[in-house]
Amino acid sequence: MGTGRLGAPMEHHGRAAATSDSSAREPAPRGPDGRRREPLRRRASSASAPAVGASALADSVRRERPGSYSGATSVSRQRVESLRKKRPLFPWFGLDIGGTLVKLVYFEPKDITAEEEEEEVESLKSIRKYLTSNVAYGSTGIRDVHLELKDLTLCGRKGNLHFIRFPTHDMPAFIQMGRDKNFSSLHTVFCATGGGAYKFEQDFRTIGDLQLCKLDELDCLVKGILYIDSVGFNGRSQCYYFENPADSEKCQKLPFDLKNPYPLLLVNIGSGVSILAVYSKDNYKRVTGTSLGGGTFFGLCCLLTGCTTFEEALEMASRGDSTKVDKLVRDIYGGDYERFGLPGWAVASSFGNMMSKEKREAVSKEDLARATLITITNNIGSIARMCALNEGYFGAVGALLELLKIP
Amino acid sequence: MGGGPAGRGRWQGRRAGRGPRRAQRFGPCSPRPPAHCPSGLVVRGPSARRLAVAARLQLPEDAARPERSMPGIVVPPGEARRSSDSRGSSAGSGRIPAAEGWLPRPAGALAPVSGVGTRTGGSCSSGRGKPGWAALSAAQGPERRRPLGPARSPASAGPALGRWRFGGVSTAWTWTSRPPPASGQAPGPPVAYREPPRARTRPASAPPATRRRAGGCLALPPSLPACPSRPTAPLMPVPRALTAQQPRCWTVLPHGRPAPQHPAFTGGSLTKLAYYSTVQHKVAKVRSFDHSGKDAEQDHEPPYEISVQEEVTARLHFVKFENTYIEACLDFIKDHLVNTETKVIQATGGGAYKFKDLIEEKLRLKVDKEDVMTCLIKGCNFVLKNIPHEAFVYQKDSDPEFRFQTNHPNIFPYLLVNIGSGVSIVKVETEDRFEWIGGSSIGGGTFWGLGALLTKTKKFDELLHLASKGHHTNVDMLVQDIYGGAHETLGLSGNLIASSFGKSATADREFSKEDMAKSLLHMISNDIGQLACLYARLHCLDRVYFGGFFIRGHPVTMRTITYSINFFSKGEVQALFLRHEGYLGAIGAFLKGAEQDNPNQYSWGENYAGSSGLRSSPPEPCPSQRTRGGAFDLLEMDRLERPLVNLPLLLDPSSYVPDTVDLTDDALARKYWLSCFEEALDGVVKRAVASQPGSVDAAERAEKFRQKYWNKLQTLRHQPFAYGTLTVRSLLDTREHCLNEFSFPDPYSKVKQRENGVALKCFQRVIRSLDALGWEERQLALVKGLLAGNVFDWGAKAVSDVLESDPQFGFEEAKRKLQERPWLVDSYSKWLQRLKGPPHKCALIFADNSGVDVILGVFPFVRELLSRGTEVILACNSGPALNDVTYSESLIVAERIAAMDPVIHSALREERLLLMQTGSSSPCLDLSRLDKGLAMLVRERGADLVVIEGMGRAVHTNYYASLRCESLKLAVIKNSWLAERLGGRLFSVIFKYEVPAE
Repeated sequence: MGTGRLGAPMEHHGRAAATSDSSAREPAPRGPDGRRREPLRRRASSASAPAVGASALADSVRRERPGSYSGATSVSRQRVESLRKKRPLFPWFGLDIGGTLVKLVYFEPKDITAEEEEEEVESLKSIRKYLTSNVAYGSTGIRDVHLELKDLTLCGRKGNLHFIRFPTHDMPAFIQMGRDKNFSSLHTVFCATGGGAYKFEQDFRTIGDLQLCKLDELDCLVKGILYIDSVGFNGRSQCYYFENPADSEKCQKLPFDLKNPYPLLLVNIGSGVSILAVYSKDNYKRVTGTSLGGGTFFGLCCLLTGCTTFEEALEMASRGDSTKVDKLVRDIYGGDYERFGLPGWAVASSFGNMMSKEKREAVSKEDLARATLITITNNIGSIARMCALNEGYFGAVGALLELLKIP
Repeated sequence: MGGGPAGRGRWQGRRAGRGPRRAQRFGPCSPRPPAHCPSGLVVRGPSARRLAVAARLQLPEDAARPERSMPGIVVPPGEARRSSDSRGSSAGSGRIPAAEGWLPRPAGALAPVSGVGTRTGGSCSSGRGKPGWAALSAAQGPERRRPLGPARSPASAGPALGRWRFGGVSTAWTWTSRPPPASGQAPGPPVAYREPPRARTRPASAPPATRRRAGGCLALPPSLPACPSRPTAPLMPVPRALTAQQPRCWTVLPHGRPAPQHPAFTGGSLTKLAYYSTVQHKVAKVRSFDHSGKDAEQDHEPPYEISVQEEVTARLHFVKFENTYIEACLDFIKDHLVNTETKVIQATGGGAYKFKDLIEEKLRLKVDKEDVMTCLIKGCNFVLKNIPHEAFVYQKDSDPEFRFQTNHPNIFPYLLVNIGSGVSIVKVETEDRFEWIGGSSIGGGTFWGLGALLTKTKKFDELLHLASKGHHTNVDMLVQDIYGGAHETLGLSGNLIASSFGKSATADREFSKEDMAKSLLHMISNDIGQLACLYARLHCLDRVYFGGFFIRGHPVTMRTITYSINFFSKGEVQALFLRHEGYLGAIGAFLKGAEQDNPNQYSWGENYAGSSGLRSSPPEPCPSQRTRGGAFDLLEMDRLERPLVNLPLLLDPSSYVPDTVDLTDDALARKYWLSCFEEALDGVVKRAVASQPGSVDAAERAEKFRQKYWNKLQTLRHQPFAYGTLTVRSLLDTREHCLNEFSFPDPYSKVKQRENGVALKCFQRVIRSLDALGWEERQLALVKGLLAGNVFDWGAKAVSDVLESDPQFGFEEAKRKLQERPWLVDSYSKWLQRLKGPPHKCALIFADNSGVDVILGVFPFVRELLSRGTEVILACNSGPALNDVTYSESLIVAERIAAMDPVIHSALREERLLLMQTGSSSPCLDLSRLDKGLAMLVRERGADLVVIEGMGRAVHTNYYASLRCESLKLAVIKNSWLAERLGGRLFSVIFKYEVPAE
């Protein structure tokens, strides 16, 4: 589940509002190449991305990628020096408050010197300990241990990147916890993105006494994607695709090389779906979106199967058989519909069999969950494909779709 | 047309040379099949022609006709009356008393029909019957509920079905069977008429049913499991043939009806049925007397005689019902395929595959599968070309919400999004070329299936109904739900849906059925709109038509799709909906099956009397309400005799709109005209009754006509857009269709006959007095004559009152009524100036009324043009409408005038004066739908002047029409409301002479 980004008919006008304060404090490093082309949409934040949070991570780390920025080595070294001085105080958080889920990224420094440890305030230590020693927080918070990125160098610090999520409706509890753990004493800046950054800003300030640094969702998204890909997944590729997806025997997951990714289509499946055309790391536009996203899958699953968690829904889906629920081409034509090259197994009508009472009674919850998943993913794929065609490129879309399926 | 054989031969020969000549196609001795046969016929092996003939020969021709029974029931002995075969009494005579055809039938009696068994039974007083339904109504009686028996004679069990189309929401399938044989028309001895119009007619004496359908029976046998349990109340809009006193049971169900107790529920999808029938109806025919000697023509004798004959026309019917009844339907078809030569049945759509075995087993016929998409496109092209105001744009919150598009001469290319169970997106480039460019599985089936799971509501319409009451914001996650109140500062609309059903994932509570249905509808509509828009943009198309049965006029759906398209395309792509969206496949399948008969060579017209209109309100699950309105439940299209095309002289055919005032737009005018037509109804009814003095049931039929038309007017009051853009023309046409429906083919025939007789007698006097005038004086007198003639309009209440009360009201009286110059619109001086210049090459004149108008107004004017050296094409209506002069009347009138006047005589002989028909039977004039022969002649002769005369043709329509040549529009405003609106008074004169800008 990603962020609950605008789905249904809507054009993106959002701009990262805040960040003037943060930019004053931490002007983003700029390489010689760093004169950003102004993206198609105006972005106030782009010229002054803060050094904290997922978005800023991208900047610094990308630079170390061989070949990506030629002749930047010396500059880079200088910057590391300057970074050290201007490095924000721990803890380093990135927060994405979506419509359904809150995604929290926490950088746990592993190179803490004894000196530092000494200086470290108690509340900071307790936060680190709390986050890193648990895999579940409260009843709903979960740390995705399998996603943890180890031995990362970020702003000259080595450490692990942790991925934690909890439902957005528990946001008040989270803020309450921040208040209880006395976050405000750390003088840290909470960089947050997603709609919730706006929705909960007031609460953060009044209840948690925390200043929220609101960041544009799509800016962060693009940066985050590029960064995550650049660091790889503990030695493996972040980006992969499926070869022979239609053939269950030959189908295999293969890494996809994102070395020369542009232009690319970024399909962000949150509660809803946003589709972005990315021409370069700073130049992108939101092409379209759809309201049929993760929220729809989960929502429909809840209604249809009575499940309560996303994992449960997915798990049910993995066991179900959607062909009992969907009306396939062969159900209508008795086989392939050759004229249009439609194979018999293609879905002609999602949930089409459910028009019949007998068949409604014959399906299991798992089947329904599966059909819901198939419906939503097919639709996203279809729209993404059309967008890709309309935008004039096509190749990487399939891969990106898969990339974005990483929860 | 007795006089001048040479002359007649020539100009008629010309006419016959263009376009299909009826005499050849339908003549009793013609080798070609009769009119109704061709497209109903699917033949493998023997040619259609031979089969059609066979079909006709198969009919009982001997006097001892077998008794006919209703399809599917055994007629108890003695129940069926023996035919009083009238053929013998009438066939030879050629002159049939008009009344004979209107003999009343006792209600419920089974009238014998020549031809097929599936015919109308019961009371024929309604003018026509739907065979099967009547049959079923008979079957309702418990004592008659018997199994299909052998009692039916072969003839009665004859092939009754035209084309049937069954299908799911998108997976319709069609099969075609034999067409009805020759509509019960026994090929009697050749009718002894000399004139061409006679050719496809026959004496009116044949069986008394005033109108019949020989084919397309929709009934199911009474053994149908669900049938007896069914209420007798109609479940569909009542077809006009069914009258209130008849018990009715529609086994052909509208969409969404509960289908209890049936074991073979095949998926709950809808079946669309297209069938072809022939409609026999009365027409008034004129012919001149065969004068043995000049002296036979006495002063008191009418100038020609009128006979009422029966004419057979082809009609397409489209209805829909549920797949539930497939087996019963097959049984029924099987029973009616007995003794036919049909070996192949055509089927298309998904169902064709699904039910292939069932069909082949049951009917023992080979199933010939047709491609769905081909059918769909054919159907779409067909409706776009043939039904005016077929496509419309839906505008939320505007009045009216429907904005109809005029028929564009070039409909290609376009994108068709067919929303059935799934969605198909097709790019259509030409008549035959199209490309399936994509699709989506999220369609009507998803709405229905998912909706049924979520709400436990089983029926599609009920789901739609739920949706219309719900609030999606309770279920959907909106932008404002994610952003809190901050969306405003971000310039976002907080009401946009971020995630469909997003709230149902996070909020732990119950959701109402209504809200979920609404959310689902939004989700699907948005998604379809988005995909359609993406495809349209990719293929650079700006028009997207939506078809299929998902939309079915449901406002929320149309609104969402329109909104979605506008949103995603930023207004570049237009979402267009179709009034007959659900029938596209059925129509196309039908056309495909009839390909060898090339239905595309014909033009078709929607029959307003038989079609149910578009509804605006969300569908109510309550059947009683549904019977009233019905969405697209019925569509009837008449095959027009002649192909219709644009007038080549139109300045811009694509922007031509015939109608002057759009009554859907102009509420004030709408109110007035609807009231006006309501008020005039009594007079029309009276006139109709008076026109058939010998008919016993005329009053009864007239009363039914009154009810029918009254109901139509009431429907239009509440839903002005029910039949497309409401105009004075459509109101007039609807009235004509309704009159025809109840066998009042030409209520004014006698009036016209009398007036023509009177006017003819004055002709020479008028000519003499005109000739006595100086040139300039004469020009004004001619124009005044035209205008005065135009006062004689029975369509105008102000005039018909005068004419009814004062039979002596004449030409001179009319002249005195006219407004003095300057007229309300007066470009006479400009016209006079023009007349001083070189003569026109060829003038095209659209004549209006019979009698004084055409004889004393138009002909002197024509004569003047002729003597100036201008050729004249005089175009009259093909069929009767009010007291407008018809083509066949004009032939007689011209002939009579030619006998008196050498100018006209020589002009006719030399083909400088040509009489043509417009192809229309309307008091108004649509220049985009004119007879092809006329259009060709206009082009050939290089017409450079168009004269349009009369209120219906020059004011209600064409007032703003721009032509590429000079035009003269003249009319007398015979309606005080309209006169006032235009700034004048009653009998104000419009004289509009226009010269196109260089």
